Amino acid sequence: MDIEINPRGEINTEALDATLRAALGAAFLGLTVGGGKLVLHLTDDAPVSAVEQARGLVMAHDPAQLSPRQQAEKQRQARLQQAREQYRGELLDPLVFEQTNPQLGLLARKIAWLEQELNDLRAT
Amino acid sequence: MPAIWTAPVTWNVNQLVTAGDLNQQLRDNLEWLKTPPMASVILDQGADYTTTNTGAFTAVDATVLSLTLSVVSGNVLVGFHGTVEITGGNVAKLDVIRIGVGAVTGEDGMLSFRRVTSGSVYSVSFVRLLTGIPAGNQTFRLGWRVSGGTATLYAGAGTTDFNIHPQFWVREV
Repeated sequence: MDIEINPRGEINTEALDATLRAALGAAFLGLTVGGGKLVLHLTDDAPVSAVEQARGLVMAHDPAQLSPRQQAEKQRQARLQQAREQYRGELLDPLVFEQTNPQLGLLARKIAWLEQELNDLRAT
Repeated sequence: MPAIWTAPVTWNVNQLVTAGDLNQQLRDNLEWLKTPPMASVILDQGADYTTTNTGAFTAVDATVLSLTLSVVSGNVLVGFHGTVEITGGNVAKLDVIRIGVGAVTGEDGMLSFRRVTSGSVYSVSFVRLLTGIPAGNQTFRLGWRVSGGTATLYAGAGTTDFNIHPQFWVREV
């Protein structure tokens, strides 16, 4: 069954979906947002209590609250950005490693090569 | 006023043909053939559409993307073009829903696509001939569903680089 709700404000689709799936389980099939409407998709046999619970969760929805995946993605981006700033401009010198162990030197050359390839990919 | 189709008459020898006959059989039927029932919408929305629906195909917008035809022949062409995005390694699927019947092709719809590269956005389109549509008013809606994640249909809402105005249309043939 589809339940149309007039949203009070902005909707964080992914976060609201995660909240509703966690609360309603298999009774919740997803949601569609657009055209000024929010439509909840529930199974036809979803109990009235599930519908009421869904309405309550929509009313309490805060778009600033991120879903677990959005939080993880935000943290991943932050870690990546931190690493970029930390190592920016620092070039790997394979010769330093080669003096210790020829295999380490080879590994260092390959890492340096991969770094160049990644930089090239990011630039294109 | 839309043209009216009348089944062609089989004429008999020496049959008197009146102005009314000619107007109905020639003028009106030619007008109908030139301008058969057609409906279309081009999206120009304030916000893009999103869905997380993993159930059966459901309308993208049961009001805006909903087109009604007064069908005569039973043959209807439907078409759509737009730009869609899907998160993660998920699959987005599009179909047409005929009210009272459901998704016209069913299963995985008229088209489906999986995101393989982060940041990928897909231009999608289909044209399909529907046959055996009963005469009378028939309503067609664009439908969608996903295997998981969130799908976005860009709807001419001013999103940078994706201010795309999709078109959905139906036309009797």
